[in-house]
Amino acid sequence: MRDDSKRWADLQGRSAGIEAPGLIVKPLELARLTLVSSPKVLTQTKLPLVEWPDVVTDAAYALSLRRDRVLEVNGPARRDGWDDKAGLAISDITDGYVQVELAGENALALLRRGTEIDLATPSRSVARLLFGMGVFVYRYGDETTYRLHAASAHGEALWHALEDAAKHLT
Amino acid sequence: MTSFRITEPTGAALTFQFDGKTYTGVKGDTLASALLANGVLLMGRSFKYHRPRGPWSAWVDDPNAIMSVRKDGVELPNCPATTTYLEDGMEARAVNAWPSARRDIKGGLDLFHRWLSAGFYYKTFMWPDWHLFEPAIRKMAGLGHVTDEVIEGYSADQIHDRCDVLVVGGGPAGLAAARVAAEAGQDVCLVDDHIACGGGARLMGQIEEMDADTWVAAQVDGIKAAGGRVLTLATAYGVYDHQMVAIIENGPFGRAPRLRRMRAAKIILASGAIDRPITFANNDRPGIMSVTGACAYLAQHSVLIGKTIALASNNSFADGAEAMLSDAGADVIRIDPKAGAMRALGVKHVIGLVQNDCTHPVDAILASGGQTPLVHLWRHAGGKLHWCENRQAFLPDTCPINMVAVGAANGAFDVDTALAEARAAGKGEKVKRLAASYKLTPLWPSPGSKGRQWIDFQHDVTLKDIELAARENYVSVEHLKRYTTLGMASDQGKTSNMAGLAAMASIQGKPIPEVGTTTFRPPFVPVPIEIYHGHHKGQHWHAPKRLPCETLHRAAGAALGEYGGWLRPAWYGAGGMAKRVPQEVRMARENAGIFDGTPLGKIEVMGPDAEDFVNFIYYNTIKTLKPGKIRYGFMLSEGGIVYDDGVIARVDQNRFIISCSSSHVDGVRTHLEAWRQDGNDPDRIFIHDTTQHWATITVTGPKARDILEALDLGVDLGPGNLPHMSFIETEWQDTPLRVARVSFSGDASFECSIRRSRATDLWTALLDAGKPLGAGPLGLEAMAVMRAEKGYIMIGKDTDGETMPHDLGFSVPREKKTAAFVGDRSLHMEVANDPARKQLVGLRVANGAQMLPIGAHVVSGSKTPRSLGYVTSTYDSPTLGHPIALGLVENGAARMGETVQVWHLGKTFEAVIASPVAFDPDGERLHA
Repeated sequence: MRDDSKRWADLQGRSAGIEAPGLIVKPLELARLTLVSSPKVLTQTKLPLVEWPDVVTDAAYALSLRRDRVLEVNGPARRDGWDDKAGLAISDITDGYVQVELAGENALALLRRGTEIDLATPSRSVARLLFGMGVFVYRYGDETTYRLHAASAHGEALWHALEDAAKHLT
Repeated sequence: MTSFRITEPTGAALTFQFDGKTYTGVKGDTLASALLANGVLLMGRSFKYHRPRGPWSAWVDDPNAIMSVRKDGVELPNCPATTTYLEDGMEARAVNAWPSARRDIKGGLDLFHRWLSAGFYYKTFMWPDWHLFEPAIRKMAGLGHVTDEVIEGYSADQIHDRCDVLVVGGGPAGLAAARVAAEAGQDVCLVDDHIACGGGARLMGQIEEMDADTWVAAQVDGIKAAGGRVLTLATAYGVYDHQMVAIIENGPFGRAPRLRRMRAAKIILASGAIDRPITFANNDRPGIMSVTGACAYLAQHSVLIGKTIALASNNSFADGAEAMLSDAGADVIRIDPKAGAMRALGVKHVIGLVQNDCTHPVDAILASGGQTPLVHLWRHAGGKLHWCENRQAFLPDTCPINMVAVGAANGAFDVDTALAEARAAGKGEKVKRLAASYKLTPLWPSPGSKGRQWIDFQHDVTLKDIELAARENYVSVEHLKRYTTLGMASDQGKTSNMAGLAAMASIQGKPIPEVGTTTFRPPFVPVPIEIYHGHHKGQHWHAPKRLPCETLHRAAGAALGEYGGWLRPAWYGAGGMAKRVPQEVRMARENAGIFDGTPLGKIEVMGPDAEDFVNFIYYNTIKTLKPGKIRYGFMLSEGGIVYDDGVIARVDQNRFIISCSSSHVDGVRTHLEAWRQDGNDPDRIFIHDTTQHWATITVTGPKARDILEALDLGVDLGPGNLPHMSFIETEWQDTPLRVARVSFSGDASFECSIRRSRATDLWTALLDAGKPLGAGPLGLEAMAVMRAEKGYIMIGKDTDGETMPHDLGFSVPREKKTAAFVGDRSLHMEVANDPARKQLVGLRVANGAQMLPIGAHVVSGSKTPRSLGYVTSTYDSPTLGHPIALGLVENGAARMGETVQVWHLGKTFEAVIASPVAFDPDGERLHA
């Protein structure tokens, strides 16, 4: 085995963000993320359900991931495991994702560098592949602000991908 | 006389070089038009024979004028001169020629053409070894060379896009279709590969009673006013699944192009048509050009190809061309190519045309054997073609996707019919192919005729090569293509395929459609590989997952390596692997090691059917596992092959946590989901992969418990309360902590899992607690040694694509498990019971003997030795003080104590087959 330490730079602090014409990218901290699965979870959840290309305005909401799974964002605290009474599978996944917020008129153009996405094609799920990495993407606050959730271990790679793609914005 | 510009150019002159000589051109010129304006016809040398060549056409169908171009320190090879727009300061050089295209030193090769026909290399250089000759041959032939200079900032943009209607081609038909569709409210995108739209309109005086330029501008304005987009310098070069069209967008020279992946609900193909060459003797000489090409140079660049021009054409377009050239001052001699065999005179420049013993002194020959619609994208999409006798061309027929062809691409060579078709397509109406006034006399190559007649200009394939291929029975067009390399050059046979297959049809006495076409594949034009990788390059090519403690590992001097998709510490500290790994092993065996096991899987299986499901997924019986306990087990493929090994913990009746191999998490999650949804009730089983939420720090060694106790967890960590293969859930500093007694080292181990954001705190606390006890960080390489000492396997290293669980010594479930499980049936097939199956063994060497090489073969002792298996893991054990090895050996379990020969790269070693467990066989340390 060889020492490949120098092939990758150390993990970078992200407080500075990325700025490009019509775009600001910033890391985002969220209080709680909870995976909840059930056959009827999309209708069971009491939180506003978010699909693509919905614009979320609430502080707490549920991302529709697939027909039987949501990701509760800033939702109520729950106990991990199988809730036999409610018929829910529950897992705290707060540290499982990193969040990035993209704001500005070029935010969608940046996303389109890494995934096939447009506002005219709705989806029941916010899950996508962005630059080859699994993410959840949706709009938050207004029509030109987007939130991304990516696997924590891919946070560094996602940030580099966004930085590279932003260089092509004019 | 040679080519020249007929009017004084306006605007600032652009200075450039070709083969070291300085010329000037004007804005809007291509390299080819600028050279023609300066009287330069000879722009390159052919691929094989180094024949002098000039441009055949004015755009993408030119096979001849290929150059390496340099500007501002950027050099790009293989730039087509006909499509490279001129910029001030360009330095162009013909490829495959030295010192210049005009005086190419290898031009004499053409004298040996009799011995260099198709198949020459295959037949001649077979003995003793093709590779002896290959370097020299490749050096003599070929195109441009890639320099070893790095082009700073040469990074291609990629963007995904969509539209309702994508129109390919900005000629009259494309513009009309796009405008109608846009005005009907469709989201329209029109792409054209020139710097401005117009296409065939450039060769027309008027369209719909308007000046052609005015008409084109009006259509472009109309499209934009209706909300449509017009992309110029953009070539649609391929059609892929689900109506995705790849578009390359070129910019200034030296800037990487952009790749636009356009998903179009409907595609209107208005890509036009090109002139077919006429096959006659010496038809490749500089000065022989397509009729359309010569007209394009005249219309777009005011460049006349010659003063006295022979115009040989079999179709009605020649009349308009003759008038255009005559109006520009040329003397045009009409030649009927059917009237007799033609032969061009001249070597570096045409000086005459001979037909029926009549010599016409000319300085250019324009040729057209008919129009060939550009149907490449149609065929990429899987569209069918049919043969049109009237037009002597393959035309679009049916298409499996929502694509429609209009204009010349659909055989509508008259502008009026093209516009009618296009507008119908734009409205979404069915396109009916209308009768055209275009007339032609069939004109195809005549096999057996005299002289060297070129079929494929770029790859130097002649009519005689086609005849030779037919004689040697390469009669299928696909075989013909590969035998002669017809159509395999960078121009993808745009000008050669029709002539080649027509020649083969004639030789075989078949109609052309019975011979058929070869497969059209993307890209339609050459594109740089740069556009494909996008962000995925360098360290981002396949970005590894990163540990939360990476910065701490680096601070501790970790050597990082990529293991199973994660960047992980291989060892710590200076001195290299050979020095540090044994030190870490001894530290962990004597005191304790602290190991970052964060990548270990943490996949939760929950729900009322979770128990039955994991019992089904695992080879081992899991149903009997009690809450708080952990069990080791295998997951098998349906073929009974070991897919993953790991442990599973039961939290309560309806909740399990699967800790699979670190590199296998994504695969295991997919495996579980597949089986959950197939053969099980997905409404009663749920799988949450929480691996990313949890970090795992393992403390292993005789002092591991002491270190854990320093954390003051407030729980009894003794073997009575927390024995091997059990776990507890507790808290550390108000954060949930899961402590599992699982070992991969063979010593007592505590796997501590905590949420990722607290990982650095836990790592630091454990190191601080361990330091006074002689413990320190433990890298993955040391852990690999320790697990091998204990005989623990690594999937994919100590197993292969045939290993079944009983090959690893786990045969009880196969014999006794009554419940169904994945892979069960395959474990009872004949192959699974073969006594010669390779089984896991240990391999011991004599005292003082050297370590066995990894991958070395255990061989039979017969005169003709064969492999009985191989060494899968091998280490010099710091713990035991002698080498150890694991291997897979035929019937290994029954060979315990047998001395075997081990062979590697000509060297033979001796080893004794033994138990895989070399360290603590009774498990006293494990259970401590």
